[in-house]
Amino acid sequence: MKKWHTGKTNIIILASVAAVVLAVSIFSYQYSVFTSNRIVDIASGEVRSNTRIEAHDISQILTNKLQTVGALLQTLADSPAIHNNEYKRADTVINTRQNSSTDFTDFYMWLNKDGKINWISNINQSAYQKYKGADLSYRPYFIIPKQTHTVYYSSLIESNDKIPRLYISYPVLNKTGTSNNQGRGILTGVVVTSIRLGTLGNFLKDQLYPQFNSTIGLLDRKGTILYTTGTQQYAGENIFGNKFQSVLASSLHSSDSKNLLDDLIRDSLQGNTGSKDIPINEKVNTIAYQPVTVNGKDFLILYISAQHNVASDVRALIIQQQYFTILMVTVIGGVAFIIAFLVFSWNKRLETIVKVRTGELKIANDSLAESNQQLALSNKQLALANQQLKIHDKMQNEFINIASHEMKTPTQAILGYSKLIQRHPEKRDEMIEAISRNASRLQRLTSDILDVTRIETGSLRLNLEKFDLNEVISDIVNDYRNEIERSDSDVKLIHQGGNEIIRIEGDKNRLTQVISNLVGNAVKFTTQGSITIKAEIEKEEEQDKDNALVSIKDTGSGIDPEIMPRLFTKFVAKSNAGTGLGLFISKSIIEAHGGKIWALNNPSLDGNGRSMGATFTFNIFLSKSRDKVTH
Amino acid sequence: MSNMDNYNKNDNNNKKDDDNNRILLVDDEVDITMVYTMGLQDNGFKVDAFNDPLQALSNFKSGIYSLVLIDYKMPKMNGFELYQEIRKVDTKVKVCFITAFDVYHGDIKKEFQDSSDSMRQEGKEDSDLKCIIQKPIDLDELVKRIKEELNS
Repeated sequence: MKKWHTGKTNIIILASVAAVVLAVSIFSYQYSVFTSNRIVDIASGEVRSNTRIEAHDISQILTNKLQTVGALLQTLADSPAIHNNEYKRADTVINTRQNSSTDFTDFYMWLNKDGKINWISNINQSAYQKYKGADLSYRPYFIIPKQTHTVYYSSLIESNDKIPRLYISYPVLNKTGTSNNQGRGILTGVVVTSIRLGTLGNFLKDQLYPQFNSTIGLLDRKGTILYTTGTQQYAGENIFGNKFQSVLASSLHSSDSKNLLDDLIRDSLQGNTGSKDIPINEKVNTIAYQPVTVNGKDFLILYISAQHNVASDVRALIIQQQYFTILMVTVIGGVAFIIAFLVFSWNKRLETIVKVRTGELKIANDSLAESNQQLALSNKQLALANQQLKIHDKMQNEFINIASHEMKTPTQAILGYSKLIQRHPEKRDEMIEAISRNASRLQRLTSDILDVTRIETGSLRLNLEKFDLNEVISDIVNDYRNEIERSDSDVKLIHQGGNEIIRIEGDKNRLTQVISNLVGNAVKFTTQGSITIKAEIEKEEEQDKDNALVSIKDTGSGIDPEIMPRLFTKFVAKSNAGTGLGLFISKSIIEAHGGKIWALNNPSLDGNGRSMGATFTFNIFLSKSRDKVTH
Repeated sequence: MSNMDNYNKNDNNNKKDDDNNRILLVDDEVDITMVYTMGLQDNGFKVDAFNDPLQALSNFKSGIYSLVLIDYKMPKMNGFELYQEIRKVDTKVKVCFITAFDVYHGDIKKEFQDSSDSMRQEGKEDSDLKCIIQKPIDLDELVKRIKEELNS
């Protein structure tokens, strides 16, 4: 995979991760908003319905309560003691009424036909003396029943003691004289009962469902505030009055809320029932309104206001949840991003490592290939060596065959003569000589074969010493001179420059063997003329390459050109008496000393192309030879 | 040595008297011809010995020899070549080869066989080669082998 490709893929994957995270966040947010709205709707709906139910129920309860009080008042008005102005009995009746409704009513009062106090319930004697005969004929709760002859429910009335109260009054009518006119009669007095607004408020408060966090408001039809939860300071104020409106303005921040509230109040004062959601102090409140109808007349208006606490709590929770979700998504996204980044950088590192490893592997591979090549080369060399070994082996076999062949001939002679010598005693001496000759031939052959074996197995050892080359040549020449003398030959053996001392370092015995072999060959092939042996020093530029040159020149038959190229190989140049191994051994010995040996036919001197014998030459270093063993 | 040379050549010119026991001996080694000649003469054979195969060939005449005894390995002309030349002149003479080689034994037989086949195709009869004498051999044994070959 190429680098840019990886980068592109990485970006695409990262972008995908980011997109998925974003989509999940948006979805989660939307879903939580939806859920929260649903929950808020449900909660608000609950609050709304609960508020309406409360408003309805409490107004009903209030209606019932007021009607009950009205009924009590009616029974009082109809009681014989009141009718008959029996004061003593009336005290008891009135006190009884008060005692039966003392949780609600403040007191009961009996006014005479002129609006003066006849009796006030549960009052001590001194107070009674103070209030007895007090004129209350100016109060609506006397005037209206007197005129209408029906029950009267007052709105708030400031009493003399400055305690705001509601009053319910009932006319006491003597119907005996006017039986034809039902309902109308002669007014003899008015019975009144009062309810403290505080008591009313407490009563209303007690009616509220305890777990339902709400406030209560109570107005009369004119908009006068009778009761609000918590405080009585607005009692008696008109809802549209300056005092309350300024309070409202501080609570209702938006004009929308104010308008909504105004609409609500106007609608409620019309005697309608309903409810509305109005934001107050940045919290939604549902205000439900319900008229309190007593004796078929709308008397008061009850307001129940409930905050959408659950809804706002839920909303706050939802917002919290949203923040949490966003945070979570962000964190998860971040973690995913970091993981992706780590994975990518790890991949990159891995890629780098793989690249490095691949490089190393390639190098290893290359070196392996090189090794293989070398191995192939080695194999080739080995095959070549093997082939050479085979050739060598074949040559070795051939050598053994020829050697064994060569050994069988003198053996046959020795065996034959040994047998014949018994039959022919007269030829004893000749035969003994022949046996001796063949025995020595066998001995030479054996010796040469051993030398060849040493050479070919690489076990030819040179025993180096310093000696005078001319001294060695001199000894050999002397030996051969004796031999020539014995054989009646007139060949001359010349040792040229024999007085010069040529000191060389080499194997004296081996070099003697070489020179002897060469001189012996020359003697063998030369029937007339001379054999000249010469040793001289050849100076070279490098001193350690100074060498001695030894040549043996004869005037014999020369070397057959046909065998010249193979002259120094085994069994090629074989004379009658020779082994055919001498030149091979000589060459090997010279080469072991680091020198060279060669042979040339002498240039023709008589002009008719006939060879004038041959010259064998070898050279050898004066100082210690570096190559001790060759072949 | 000069005596032996005389001995070697003493019957060279004495031919046609007895056809049944005259033998031609050719070997490049003087000591071998000497020893074999003496060994055979002691047993009543007449021997013409040569150390040079070419000389032997030039002196060869048909019908004189009952058997030729030829060294296989010789310079100038090997034993088999000499035999082939002799065969051209004399189709009846028996032959024994002498060899010091162990391995050449089989080669000689094979060469001889091939040669016999070609001669047979030309209408000439020849016997299988049975007589190969390994050097070194006891002289009595040599005589025994020659007699066997002659009587076969």
